[in-house]
Amino acid sequence: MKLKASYAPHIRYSENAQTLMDDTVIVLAVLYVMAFFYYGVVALHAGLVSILTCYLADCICTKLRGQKINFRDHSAIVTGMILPLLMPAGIHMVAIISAGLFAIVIAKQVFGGVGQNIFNPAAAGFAFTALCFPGQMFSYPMPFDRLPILTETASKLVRGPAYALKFGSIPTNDLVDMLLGNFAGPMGATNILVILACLLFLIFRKTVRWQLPVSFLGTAALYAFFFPRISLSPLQSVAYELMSGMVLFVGVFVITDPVTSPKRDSSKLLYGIVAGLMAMLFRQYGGFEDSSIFAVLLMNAFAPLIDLISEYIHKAVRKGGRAV
Amino acid sequence: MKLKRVRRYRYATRYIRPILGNNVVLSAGLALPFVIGASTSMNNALALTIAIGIVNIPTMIFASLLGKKIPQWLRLPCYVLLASALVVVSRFAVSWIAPNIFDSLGIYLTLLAVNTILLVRGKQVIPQYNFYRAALDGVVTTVSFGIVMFVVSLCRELVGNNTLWGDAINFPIKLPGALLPAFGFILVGLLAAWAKFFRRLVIRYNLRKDNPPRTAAKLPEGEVE
Repeated sequence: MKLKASYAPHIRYSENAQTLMDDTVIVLAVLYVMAFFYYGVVALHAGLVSILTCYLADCICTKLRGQKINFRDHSAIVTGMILPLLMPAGIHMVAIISAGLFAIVIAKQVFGGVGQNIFNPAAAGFAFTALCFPGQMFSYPMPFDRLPILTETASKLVRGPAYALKFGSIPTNDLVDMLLGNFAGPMGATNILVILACLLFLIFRKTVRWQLPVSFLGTAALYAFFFPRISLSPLQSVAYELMSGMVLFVGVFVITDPVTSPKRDSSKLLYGIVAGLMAMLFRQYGGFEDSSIFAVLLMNAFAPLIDLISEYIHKAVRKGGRAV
Repeated sequence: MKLKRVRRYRYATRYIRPILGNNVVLSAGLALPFVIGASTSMNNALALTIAIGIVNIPTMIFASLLGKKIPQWLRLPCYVLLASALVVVSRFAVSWIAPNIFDSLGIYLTLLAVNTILLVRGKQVIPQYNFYRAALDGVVTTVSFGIVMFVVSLCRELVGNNTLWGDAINFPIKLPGALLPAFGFILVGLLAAWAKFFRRLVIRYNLRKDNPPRTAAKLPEGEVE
């Protein structure tokens, strides 16, 4: 009998950081296929540039910190894939590269690398680029406009439905078109049905716990139901609010980051509820048409506190249970 | 462990250490609002450096001469009172150098009356110094503040506005977000990390010179590594 000496734990879970990231890469690749369908090669080019920027920056910074590069860590690839999907197709490469560098160098590596960052790198990178290039980041080409890769885009840029909602107007987009992703918006955030399917896949694979996205999107939906910004039925308001901008994408891919979100299920519920409320308040009263990313960044700072509060509550409940 | 070189280095640099090694902004985190909020152009950096010199140096001299004679609880209010009067003087100096600067500085010039370099060093350190040491300390802390201000302002103006001293420069990258205070915070944090890295490098160099790693060839007979 061959005995192999190893350290505890001896019962290994099939899931590890690499499988979590690989699952996310798979679903993001599906979104890139949809982005390619609507916007052409420019979507793939943006994704490739972003992934290369993020991965190279990650490797260089890891070496500068005197550590060995872990080639099985795909977190930088996930960040690189998420960033262009939050941006308009055909955006200048400077914006994509600066977002990637900020996300990896400032939001991730400065805090100690993978697993140590406080803020979601993709959210931080998008926030930085939104502050630097506000005009470019929220002007979108129409789907099926074939955009040039390296030259400046000459196609007509329009505002998304979130812009109309911000000023209390009813978006002119058909709800069916919005479900299918056939409207102007961020490259990856418009494919509503595909994003929902991705969410189901991630929950089925246990990459993501359902408490976080469901509480986030549920709170956002409730807010839109009770405080509609447009003079339509509450259900139509919910549909427009969730399908416009990047609320759905943020709720599935950004807020569910395992490093920056709370660890306990009960904490995730509370975190998602507060984040959903903040996201809707930021969308309504913030400077940009969709500031839900900034709400996520703000909540990232409170994730450890929410975990601590949840731990106290659980201890109190356990003590009370034992006393009874 | 031998510390001769380290002690010699520390003694030789005792007066100028606040400039680079123990920079008052990067190591002690003093006067951060000016470095983060007002460092959006080189003109601002120059104006604030001159103003802080006009405010701090005489106040530190006053603190060294009369600091110990004033009760402890009254020292800071006296320094702030004198600094407030000197802020008025600095305002005229700044307006004489660059008439338009004063408007762009806004409240930052007035805040110099309660700048933390003066409050922290004036309370803890200066009363123990004599006149010359206090004046030197004032000059050295002003220079250290100025260096950080100029470096941060250079980066932010060049990258954020593509200008230098108000004149347009052909720079390939333009990131308007660099003019925001958040970018200033990040830049100061990165500079503080670099300052700490170089400080440790110098100390480690001196330590290594005094205590070279022992090799087998140098070990005395019978001793094993």
